[in-house]
Amino acid sequence: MTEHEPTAQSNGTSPAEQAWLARTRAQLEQATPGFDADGNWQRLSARIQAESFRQGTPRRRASWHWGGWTAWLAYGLGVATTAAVLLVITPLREEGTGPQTVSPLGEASTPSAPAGRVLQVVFRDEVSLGEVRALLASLDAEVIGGPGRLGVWHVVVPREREQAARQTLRQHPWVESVSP
Amino acid sequence: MERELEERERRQADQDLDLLRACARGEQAALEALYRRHASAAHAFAFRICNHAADADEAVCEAFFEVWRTAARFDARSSVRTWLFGIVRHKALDALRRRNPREETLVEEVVVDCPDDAPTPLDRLMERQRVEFVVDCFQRLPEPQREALHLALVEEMRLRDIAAIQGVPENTVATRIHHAKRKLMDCVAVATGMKKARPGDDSPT
Repeated sequence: MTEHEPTAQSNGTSPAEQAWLARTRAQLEQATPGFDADGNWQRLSARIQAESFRQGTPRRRASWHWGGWTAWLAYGLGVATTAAVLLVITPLREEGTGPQTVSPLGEASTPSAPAGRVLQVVFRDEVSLGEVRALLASLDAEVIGGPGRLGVWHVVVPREREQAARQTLRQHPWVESVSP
Repeated sequence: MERELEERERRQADQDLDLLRACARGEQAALEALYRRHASAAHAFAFRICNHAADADEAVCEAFFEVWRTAARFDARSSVRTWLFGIVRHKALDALRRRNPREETLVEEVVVDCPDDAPTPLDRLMERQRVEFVVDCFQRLPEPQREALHLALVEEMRLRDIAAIQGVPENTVATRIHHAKRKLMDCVAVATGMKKARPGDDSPT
């Protein structure tokens, strides 16, 4: 930037024109619709997370295919190790405390399910993101994933409004399909 | 005073660059900071191009998503702000092309049919109409002139930054701004009855 470089609009204009431009600027700013910075940031943030999730899944799948036989070997070793550990530990536990109820390991790490029903929705191509957002907001629906390559959005709706939300979406002209 | 302004602009440009580098490292908080600094101005610019609030929202969202994805590829040939506005411009133009052109004709009808049914004092009504005239005349400007004048007038950008955003030489930008100002003045003067319309002068395009 050169020193004292004038802005484009102030370049060679008379004071009267400057005043007119300032007034015009104020009028244009006054007529610009408000911007929902927080709402748009939430939408952008959700999209970034959905995108990173979408990109992460194929990467894991690719490494699985790449390492075909090594993956099976690792799986086999894992199973063998688990079996060996169980063979050693289970008798010890039975000796020490008597019969116990064993809960599956999977239960501890199962992620909590979304607090509503997940629907897969495809919107028509000409529908804007703003319109999608407005429609979903009217149904208290929240985007939890997508759109993927096939344009499928994963949205969660409150359980008590599931039927109504599904029906509204199916009948809405912006919506191409809803499942389940 | 001008030195101070320039120093402040330079500091802000450096901060933008730091934030963009952090975005390239995957720091989403940096993107949010960048968004908080520029999203509102980007939205006003997008709205001025596509004249549709939801489309402007979408253009801003798309633009910042693009910033996030391509931050590592920023080559620093311009400021981050200029680069960002260039992306916003493309997204807004995409939205404009997608939008049904029928809505654009409505803007021209507003200029012809002056809204006069509000029971407000005359001076307030005239002022309100004048804002509408200015906005409608602004929207009638050819799109490249509209962009250039918005960036010059509202964002107070320099010719070379606008040239970088529009991808044209500075002289072209200067000409666009000159014609845009003249057409806007004429259009408002005709709309407010201060000047008679000439044949074929209905639209400043």
